[in-house]
Amino acid sequence: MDSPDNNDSIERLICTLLDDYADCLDSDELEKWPELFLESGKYFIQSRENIEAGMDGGYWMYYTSQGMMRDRVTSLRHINTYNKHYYRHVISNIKISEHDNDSFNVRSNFLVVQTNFEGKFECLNAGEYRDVILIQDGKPRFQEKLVIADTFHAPSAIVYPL
Amino acid sequence: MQNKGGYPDNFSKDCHGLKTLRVETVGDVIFATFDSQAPPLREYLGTAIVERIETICQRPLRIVGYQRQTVPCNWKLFVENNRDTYHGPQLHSFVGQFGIAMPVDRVSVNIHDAHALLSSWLPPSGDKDDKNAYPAQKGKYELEDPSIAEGFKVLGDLQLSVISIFPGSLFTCIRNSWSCRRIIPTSPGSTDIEYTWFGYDDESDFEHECRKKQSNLLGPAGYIALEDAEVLTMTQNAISRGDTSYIEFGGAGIESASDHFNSEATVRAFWKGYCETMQIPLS
Repeated sequence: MDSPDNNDSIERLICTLLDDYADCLDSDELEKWPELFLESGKYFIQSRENIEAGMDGGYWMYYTSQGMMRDRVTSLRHINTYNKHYYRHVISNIKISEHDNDSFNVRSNFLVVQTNFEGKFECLNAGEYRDVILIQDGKPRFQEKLVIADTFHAPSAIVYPL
Repeated sequence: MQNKGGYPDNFSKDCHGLKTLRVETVGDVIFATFDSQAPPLREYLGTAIVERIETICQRPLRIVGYQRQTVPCNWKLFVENNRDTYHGPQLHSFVGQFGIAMPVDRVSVNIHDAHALLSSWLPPSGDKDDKNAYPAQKGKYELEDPSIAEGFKVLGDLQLSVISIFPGSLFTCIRNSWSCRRIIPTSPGSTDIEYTWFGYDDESDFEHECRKKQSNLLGPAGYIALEDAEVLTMTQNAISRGDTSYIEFGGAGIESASDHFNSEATVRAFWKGYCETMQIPLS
């Protein structure tokens, strides 16, 4: 973050990554989701309840590689049985801080609403993303994404990533 | 306050305190009941379940996390789902399709009153696959990251314990993915499920990591549990319209089995217990 121009472009790259993340889940292009991560990228969903209690278990999703995320996609596409649903993400209050060797800590708020197979609406989850984003050759990717689910009582099954 | 208003003269804290629960323990597990007339816990659970809980509690346990979820179905559907012994391979094909099902040497079903204990054992170490009653199958798909299937032996060859305690408690120890669940009816068409995840207090980092990866199978987003929730939602929709269906699967009686899972005796045991508790006459 040397010059104002550079700051603008970093912010734009990070926002684009967050937009792409929401877009692939909201438009059912699941295959693009793992590609937003580094090969060694991590994706965790942990409840606010467990975070506050200092618990390191009971994750809703605990994926420690891009391969595990691709396996989730394979399973959802070809193996698992579930009802059709539609997601919409709203992401706001993006805060970029501390950077080290092209990696940035990025925190943001999210809201995921779901429309189910009967056309009924529910607020699936509200919470916070704590991301570590690496920018290499002008391309931003998640090194780690921790989804903290404030809504720690899930109102229904969580099929797609949040 | 000039002795005006307030509590009546005969107010007694003893009459308005918190309700006292009767508490008993098996291993590290604490059971509580509001019913002072309930039979002694060990007698209620029966020997097989008590011994299994004690086996699991052979070292001090540590709680590692909680999960909570609503499933839009009647609580009895959820109970049927977790003690029906044969829907697994039909509905949950994640393990089979990825070819990571463990070989099984033998299985057993213990029924005590309305409770059920399902178990399976790995082949003794060193046995070749083809000698097993249920050898592991090759999958249609291949995992890119097979570490989700990494595990460690902890209770000898015992690899599965499902303890379904009447009416609404459930322990599932599937390989290294260990949790207990409380099944809480909130309305005729809705049930809350509360998970407590646990392991041993003195586990290595590798063992803890294995448990975290294997916990991807259960919970609100779990490869297996999400399918149960989705199918139970559809089943609730169907039965709330009055549709009925009954099949006598694996006979009509309630008996334990030491060599197969192809029976709904565990489900029938639940319904017998339910009818007795609700004083519904059995035909």
